[in-house]
Amino acid sequence: MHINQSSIIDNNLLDKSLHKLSDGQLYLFLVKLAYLQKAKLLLLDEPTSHLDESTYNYVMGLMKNYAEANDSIVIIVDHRDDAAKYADYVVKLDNVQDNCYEDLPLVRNKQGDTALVLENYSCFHDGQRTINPISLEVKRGEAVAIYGANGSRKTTLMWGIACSINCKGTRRLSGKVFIIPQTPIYWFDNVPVAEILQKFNKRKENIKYVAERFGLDENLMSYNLSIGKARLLSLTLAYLSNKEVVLIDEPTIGLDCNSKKSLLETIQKLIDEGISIIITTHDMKFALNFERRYILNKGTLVEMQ
Amino acid sequence: MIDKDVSRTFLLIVSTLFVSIIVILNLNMLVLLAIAIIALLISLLLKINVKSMLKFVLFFQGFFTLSSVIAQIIVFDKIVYESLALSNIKMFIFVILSFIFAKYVTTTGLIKLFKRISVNAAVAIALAVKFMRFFPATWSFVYRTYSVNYDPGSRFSRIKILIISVKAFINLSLYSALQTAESLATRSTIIFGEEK
Repeated sequence: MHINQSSIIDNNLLDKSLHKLSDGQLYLFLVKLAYLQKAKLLLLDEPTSHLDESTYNYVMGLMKNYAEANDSIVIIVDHRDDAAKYADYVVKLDNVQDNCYEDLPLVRNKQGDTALVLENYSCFHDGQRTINPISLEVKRGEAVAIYGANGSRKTTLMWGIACSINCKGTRRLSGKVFIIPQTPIYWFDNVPVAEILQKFNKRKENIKYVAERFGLDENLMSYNLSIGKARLLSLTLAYLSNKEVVLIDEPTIGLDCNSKKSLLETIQKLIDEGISIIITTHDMKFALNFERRYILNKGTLVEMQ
Repeated sequence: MIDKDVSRTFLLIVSTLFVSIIVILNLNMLVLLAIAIIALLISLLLKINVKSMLKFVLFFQGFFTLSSVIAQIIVFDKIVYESLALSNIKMFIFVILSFIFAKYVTTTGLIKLFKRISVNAAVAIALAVKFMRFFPATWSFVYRTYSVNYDPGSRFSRIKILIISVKAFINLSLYSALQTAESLATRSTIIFGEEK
């Protein structure tokens, strides 16, 4: 694979401010910068957490080419073993595989009423259309996955559904929306978990019991939670605040297999309560657990067959 | 109407002074809130428009965070014998300098420029500039998230959302600031070696 160095960073990326790049775009940009630096040792931390499959394969090809052309060493650490087909050496630190959640398809709650309807709904940024008109109906207790490559505007769509950016069209909701952002993971106060849970406790449930049910240590300070646990805390807050539709932006980022499994189990608990879930992800393997799946490409949403 | 840049600079100085007072007197959050209100009244007296005022609030919170970070860096430098007041004067200078350089100098450029004086100072200034750019985006993000997620269910919902957002913003900024400080300190140590 030969890569022309002058075309290594595309003009679309160069025109954007760094803080406006999506997580995946930023990761790709950094990889390309590292490539241009011609370092003798290049370390990549968790690329599969940030990159969609096609971008990941591109980056791996790039790294292989880089290592051979510059006589350099590239070390990749990842919770998935996808890099094995590109690597000369593989070191396994444990025997965990990334398939522990594959037999856990989410089961829809059969309550049936409509929770969210979007008709001819489009969103705008700086006067330009970022999300093309979409139509989407989500039932109560249903889980929907929106798959998209890096930079496909998944996050924009989520904030659009939450009605937090400028959007036009019809949006009908039977209840209220809760959004779990991609970053920062710790969007709440740095206080004990129990205190945060109490603040959102619209259901007036016993906090100790809820924490136990969702696998949280109520006494821990929130910033001491692992990424996986912080996401579970966000999901628990969604449950406690009695919202009907929960939007989760890129929930698998930074999670290993077991954490993804816990996440799916928690999503199932919410579905069982009649809560509707919409996630965006670049992880197709994870999306396959969802009954309904869509693909988002440059702001256009298409249902997957 | 006061020139935008001039008003921002002025507000920056005022807010930094407030921060210094707070840190020196080691006051609690209620006093912080009271001072913020006084500062807002000053902004109103100066006939600064709403947008500028909002920016002021952002700056105020930002520099409150910054003061803690710089205090941390100063502690790292093992000059704890210096009084807190002196530390805050240093912080004041750092912030003013970083504001002046904010628009013209890159983070790397700043580190290179100030490392001649002190690597830690360079890191602190770079950090200040980085955060000056980071705060508005973070604030907007935190406030948006709480506006969607938090439903206090009272007549004062907006105020409650604002208060909880400010608290989360301060915590988040502190958390990120410390991480960035650590990363910048490591980076500068790698580039320039240990400071003697």
